[in-house]
Amino acid sequence: MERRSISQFLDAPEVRQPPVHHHRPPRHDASRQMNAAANFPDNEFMAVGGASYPIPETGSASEGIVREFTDALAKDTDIAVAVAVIKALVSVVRRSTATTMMGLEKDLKVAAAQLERCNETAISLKAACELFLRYTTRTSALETEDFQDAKSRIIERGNFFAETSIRARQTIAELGARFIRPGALVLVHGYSRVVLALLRKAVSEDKVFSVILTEGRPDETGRVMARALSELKVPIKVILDSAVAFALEAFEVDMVLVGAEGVVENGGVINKLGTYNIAIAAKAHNIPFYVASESYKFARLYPLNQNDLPLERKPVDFGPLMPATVKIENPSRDYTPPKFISLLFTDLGVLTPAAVSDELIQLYV
Amino acid sequence: MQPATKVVGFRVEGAAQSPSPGPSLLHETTTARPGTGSPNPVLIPPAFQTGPPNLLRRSAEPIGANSQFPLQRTTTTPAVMAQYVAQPTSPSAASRRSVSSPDGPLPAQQSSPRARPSTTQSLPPLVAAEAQDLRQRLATGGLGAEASGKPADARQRPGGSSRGPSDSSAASPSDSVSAAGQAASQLQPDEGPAQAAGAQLSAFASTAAQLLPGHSPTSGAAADPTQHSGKARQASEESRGVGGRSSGERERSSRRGEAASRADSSGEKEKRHGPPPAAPPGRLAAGKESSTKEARSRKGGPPAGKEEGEKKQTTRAERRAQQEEQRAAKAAEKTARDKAARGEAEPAAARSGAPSKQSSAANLQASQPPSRSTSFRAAALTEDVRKRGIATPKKEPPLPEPLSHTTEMFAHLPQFKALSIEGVLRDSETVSKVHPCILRLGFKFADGSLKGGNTRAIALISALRQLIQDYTTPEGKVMSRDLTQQLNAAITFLVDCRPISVSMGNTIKFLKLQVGKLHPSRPEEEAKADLIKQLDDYLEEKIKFAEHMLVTTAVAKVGYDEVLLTYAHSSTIYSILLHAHQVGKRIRVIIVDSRPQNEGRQLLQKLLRHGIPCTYTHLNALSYVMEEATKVFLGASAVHTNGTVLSRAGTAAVAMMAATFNKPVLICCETYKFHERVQLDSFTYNELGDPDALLTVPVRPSISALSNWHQQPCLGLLNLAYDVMPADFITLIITEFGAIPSTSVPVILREYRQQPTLNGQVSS
Repeated sequence: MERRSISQFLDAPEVRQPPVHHHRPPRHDASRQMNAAANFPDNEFMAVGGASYPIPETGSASEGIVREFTDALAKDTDIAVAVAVIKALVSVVRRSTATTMMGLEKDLKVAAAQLERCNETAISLKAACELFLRYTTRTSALETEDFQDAKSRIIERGNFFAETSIRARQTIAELGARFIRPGALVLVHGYSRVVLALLRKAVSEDKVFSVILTEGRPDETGRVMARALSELKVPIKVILDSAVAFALEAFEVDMVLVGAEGVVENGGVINKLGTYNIAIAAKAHNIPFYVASESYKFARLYPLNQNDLPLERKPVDFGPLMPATVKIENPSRDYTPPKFISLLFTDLGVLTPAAVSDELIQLYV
Repeated sequence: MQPATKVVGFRVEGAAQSPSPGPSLLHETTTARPGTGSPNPVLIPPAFQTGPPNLLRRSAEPIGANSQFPLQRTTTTPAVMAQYVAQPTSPSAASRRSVSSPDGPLPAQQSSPRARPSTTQSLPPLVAAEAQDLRQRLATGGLGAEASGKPADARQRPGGSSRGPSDSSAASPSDSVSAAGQAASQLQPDEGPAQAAGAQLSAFASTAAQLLPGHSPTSGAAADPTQHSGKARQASEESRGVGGRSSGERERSSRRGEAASRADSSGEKEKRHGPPPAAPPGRLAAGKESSTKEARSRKGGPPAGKEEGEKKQTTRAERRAQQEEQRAAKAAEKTARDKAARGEAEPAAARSGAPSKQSSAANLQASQPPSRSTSFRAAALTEDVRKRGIATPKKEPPLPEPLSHTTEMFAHLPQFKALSIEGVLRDSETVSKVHPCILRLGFKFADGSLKGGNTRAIALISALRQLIQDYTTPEGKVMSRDLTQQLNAAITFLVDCRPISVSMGNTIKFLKLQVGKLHPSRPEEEAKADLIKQLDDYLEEKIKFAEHMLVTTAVAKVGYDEVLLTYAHSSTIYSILLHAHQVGKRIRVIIVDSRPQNEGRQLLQKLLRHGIPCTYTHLNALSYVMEEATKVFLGASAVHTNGTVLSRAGTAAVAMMAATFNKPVLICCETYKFHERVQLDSFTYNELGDPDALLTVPVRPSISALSNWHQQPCLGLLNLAYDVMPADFITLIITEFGAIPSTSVPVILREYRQQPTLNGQVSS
């Protein structure tokens, strides 16, 4: 598969001819059905581009963006947050009454800030906002004289970004499924749609493999995942979260596969609590630890350690027998440093952690 | 000292006056950017008020005052010299540890306090005249250096890779050795005047040897001991298993001496002494020699064929060397017997431990009955020396070869040599070639008053700016080429003062690139203005603005109520800590420091002045204080492609300890200090500091146990300037472009090295 870069948009020539077909990965019918999540009507975006789009007279550009975003999420439960963000931000550009690039950028920033306020700690939301701003505004193609021309180009590019994001899961599934060998035993932690797509892809390639799922307390990701996988007729075993190290050795696990909430600048990942445990245990047993993640989750974040994460706590119920004086702590996610990660399956290709930071530097720096 | 009244290439009148170090440059650099690493005197507890060792002051001591000149060492002079004559291109210890005599040009050989002066004293007037003549020729031969007491100019050597033997009076024990070595090392195959001078010198040496009384009768017998001693040396070296430079050189010289005796079977010595009776040992030695020769050629020594070609040319010098060696052996033996007679037991360790060829030669010689004339002559020699009040040999324990004072592991690095201002200024060539502001800068580098990557780079830029401003293209020359030559001369001088840092290297690389791009048709004034603008932009963007951005990023990484640990002194780290304090992060700082520079005290002073709570400790207590720290901030001298970080010696230990304690290690380094080199360890590239800096005990200078370490042959003091920490210890590197993992250094180099400044390509 062609090696692509996250910064592919930054070059003027590529932008001038929307490289949709060029970059579109081959589609398989089976995966199309599976990936309903990503199936936005393509023409919705096709209609968007162009300076002739009517600009609403009233209200600020970012008005109602949050509603638009939440509606998009509600309409399709399988939609990625990033895609909803992009969709919302493109409409902001469309509605913007700004007459200069500065004004447009300001509108976008205001809108992005509003979106980020929906969920302060959502890394993927933040990452998607940042990436969109970067994709759309940092380009030499915007140095045109005509503002309307530039604006239409931004919309064009936003749409392109959305499209590639929609297809990201499918690309990852194709890339990552190769790593599942026949007869493999895969340990999966947390509920991830990318991981699910990857396993589906492997099944569709008639690979025989089995999966160990962690229970995933307290939000029972194991059960959700198990339900989805049982439809694929994959043999499943569910273990307690605390049994991971035991299972890695006792069941002779071949690889660990997790999704990610966010991928940080050094190639480490932020994911559901317990990922770090598993990564350390896998490293100790020399078992490869793979992360499947779309490139729009690449965040401009560099946590030094667990304390350096934006803290997110979730309520947890330990039942009535727990003494009331006990303080209960339940962070919802942890940070896995890059040294524990073997490879990342992304829509840009299969990357080492260092390559992730390479991509991010090219984009942001 | 003749002042250079007119300097080609610069509009400078009376250049010789200006190089005296003044405060202006330091002032410029420190005022240009407060917070750089330049030292400034501040109020601090008295215990902390010991400054860095003043090399210049130390180096300015007259050599004669140093009464440690050993007979043993100095008698090796001709041997070393012969070595140079035979192998002019191989830079060796002797040439690098060069010495100047600060108090005026010495009368070439006589004034050196060593054993040979007595031989020259007793020379017939003919030889003395010849010596005088030689001196004059050397002086007028375009060398800019006299036979001794004057440094040879490193730039005269093609390639210029060897460090130029400019002055260092601190390295005084090797005084006369290196002086002669320098003169001889001038002998380049392609340099007319220098060759002539070298040939003259060797001719002089051999003439002197022939005229010496009491020499020829015994030299036939003495030919054996030389070979024996050569063999013995080899054997001892093999048994010790050392492969360092010094032993290699000793092998070389012994081989040459032996080869000379073989090759000259029809030579004049042969005629005088009859067939050498030591043929079998000689063959044996020759057998061994062939193997060592192979080993040396594998090590990258000069090709054997070349040596063979040169042998013919240099046989006289070799013979001379041999004779000289024999004489030395006898003198040493005489000394030893004198001492034995007086019951003065020499330190046994000094004798047995010294790998010096003289001691082994002397030991061997002692078993043979010396001829009467030899002992007579040696006695006369000793007497003579005593009368003249110079170092009396009986008080001198035998000293080792110059290089044995360095650690073998670091013998490949440019050895430390102190610079004397007088010596440089006397070198009219340097003075004429190098702009005064560069001279001034070099002195400041040499005496340590300007140190730290950023400080040195900023000072360099302002000096280069001055250089360009004063530059006028000579008639009939192209500016870009001639200016490049001027720059090269300046940089060579700076390297002589102290090896340049990566920050300086990148700056120089940038400037040279710009100079090379200059179109010949451009008016000079315009081109100069352009270059100066480029330099200013570089300074602003790559150093000042970069630091500003870096500090912003780094401070964002500092949380509230954190305990930040840092090591030594980095101007960037200081800015970060200060800024973090000013934005109200309530930080506490642990400053870890180490001898001999104790740079951390500067940081401590500055931070205390701003009311930042600090803890000051030395490297020994690192594991204790590391527990308190929440983050470790470290500066860097350079960051390599493979993510390793070159920094002040001791930093790697701090990083390792932090990694052990699982504390995040944050390296703060502007990208202009990134380097394409891949470095895995601290040995391949490093800088050797002044070994004497380790001597002083800060609070009580009187109790230094190492004060006479130069006389300890088995002792080498190692004062490393830098060390390299592996990428594994580094959590992240903060640059002006943001935080990157240590694996991403190549990305930065790839993306930004093409673009020298942020605002795009150079206008030309």
